[in-house]
Amino acid sequence: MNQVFETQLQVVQRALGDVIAPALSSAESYVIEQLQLSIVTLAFMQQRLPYARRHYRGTVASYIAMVAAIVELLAEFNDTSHSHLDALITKGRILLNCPEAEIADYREFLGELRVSIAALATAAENADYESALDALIIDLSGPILLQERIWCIPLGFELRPQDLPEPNWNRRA
Amino acid sequence: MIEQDVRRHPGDAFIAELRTRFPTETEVDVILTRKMRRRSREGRLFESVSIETLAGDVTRLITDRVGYDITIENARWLTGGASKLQMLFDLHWRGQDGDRATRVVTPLVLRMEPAASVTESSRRREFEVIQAAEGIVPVPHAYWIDPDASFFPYPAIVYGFATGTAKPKGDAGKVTGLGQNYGPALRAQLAPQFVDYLARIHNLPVAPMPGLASFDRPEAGSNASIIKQVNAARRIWEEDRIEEEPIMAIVYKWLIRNAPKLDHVSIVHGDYRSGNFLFDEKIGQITAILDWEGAVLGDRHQDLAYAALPIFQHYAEDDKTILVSGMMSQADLLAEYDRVSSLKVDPQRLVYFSVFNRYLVSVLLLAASARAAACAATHQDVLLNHVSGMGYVALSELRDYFRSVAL
Repeated sequence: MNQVFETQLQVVQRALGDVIAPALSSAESYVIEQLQLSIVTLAFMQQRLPYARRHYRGTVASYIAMVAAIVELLAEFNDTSHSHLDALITKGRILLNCPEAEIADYREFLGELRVSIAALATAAENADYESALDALIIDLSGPILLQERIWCIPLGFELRPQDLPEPNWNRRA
Repeated sequence: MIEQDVRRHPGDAFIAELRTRFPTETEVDVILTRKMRRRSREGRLFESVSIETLAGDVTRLITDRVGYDITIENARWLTGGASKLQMLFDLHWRGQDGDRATRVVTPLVLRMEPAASVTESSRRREFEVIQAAEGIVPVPHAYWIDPDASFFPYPAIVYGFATGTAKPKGDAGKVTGLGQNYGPALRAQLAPQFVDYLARIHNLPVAPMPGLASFDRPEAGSNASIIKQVNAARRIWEEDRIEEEPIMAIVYKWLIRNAPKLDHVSIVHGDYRSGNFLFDEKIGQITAILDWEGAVLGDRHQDLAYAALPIFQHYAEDDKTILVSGMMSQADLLAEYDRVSSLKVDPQRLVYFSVFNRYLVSVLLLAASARAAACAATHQDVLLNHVSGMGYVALSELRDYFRSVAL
């Protein structure tokens, strides 16, 4: 059998697009729309599946770098009450060095990182470092969100996808 | 319980905490609380409803409302939109006057909520605001409402069928009108109407309208109503999000701190853009303004900024000019609004609502849409899942815009 998942997705797309869609051409428009969107969703998976692990590893590495920058900033303000951030950095580096780590592990840790950073931003309200912290998070979020946009290009929402930079996951570490 | 499970199976304490943390309008609170309780009840998913069932339900509703037997025929699904389930049908009845000797056939639309939606909204408010706008701008007549799902599986509204199309023949493949391209000839006809109708909506005198009973009444000179709106968006984020995004916490703080005081209370459509109106392509006329479910009483700049959001834009034929809502450049839209409206455009308020709308759209895409699809809670999960993929475009745009105006 074809052991490659992308091939499995490819044959389903061809069946839906080349055979089933023409047969449903007289169906109600909502039926055709849902079929077309199903094909788009499968195409997204086919294009992204080979790069998913690298994409999530890259995102984890970017957020670890953000947390490290936050720790440095807080130190400048003599704030030492955030030792849990150091623990997060250590945990993240162990995860990235673990050969058995799976996508689900990266996703779970990303959730933990994002919640911690957001909670820190909320708790910083009226602290003397608030504006510096907010600016740092906003700055470092830019490249991360840009990669997320690039990740979603196959869904077809970008006005000019060709203007977006090369995805990070094309570069092997 | 891990964080995501709290949202998938929300308990009373979680629901109560969010209600306390993010106070909002009374009716909005009712709707959002209802959504969370519905989700918490044995995690019930949306069950498909047959057209025969809905036809029976709508017959019972109308019979109850008019007080005599009616019949409906030719019930069929109506497509369009990413949020509500819609059925078109012909009503055989005595007409608005109820004259026994009269037999009238009226084409009507039933619009019912699924179990969850990209915009969790109030049918009461939608009904009231359509009635308020009738006669001022083209809207379908709002006939009857089942706000508490006494007749239908979920709350529903029945309104008149409006003729026209939401998408031009040459660009019919866009989902829900996002990036809709009307082409140069058609947009030259539609664009002035698009702006004129918006100005008319904003100029409606709100104070003497007793019909808007489901809306908290804002006061000019206060920013309390704006803060309630920001809180509503934040509450939806906290209720529905699949993943946390640190930017959202930072922008929320800014929106609360910088909420402008109202200088004039307007009806704000809330979703005024390409794809949310019908038009007659042959004569180039807008025939109906649709999708009033996000309407609020508030600041006109909210609509002006919303219509210009990047996700509703496309490039003109010169490949340089960006057309907002497929109509005209933002500068031209504001100049035309300034010309036809007696209300001035304040650049600072426009900036505020440009941030707010980007925040709101990020909430609706990355949180509400993604959650509804993940919970199998609608009749078109594949569509909501698809548009949630636009969430990162919206969030990235929010980050870039916020950085340019607020830092």
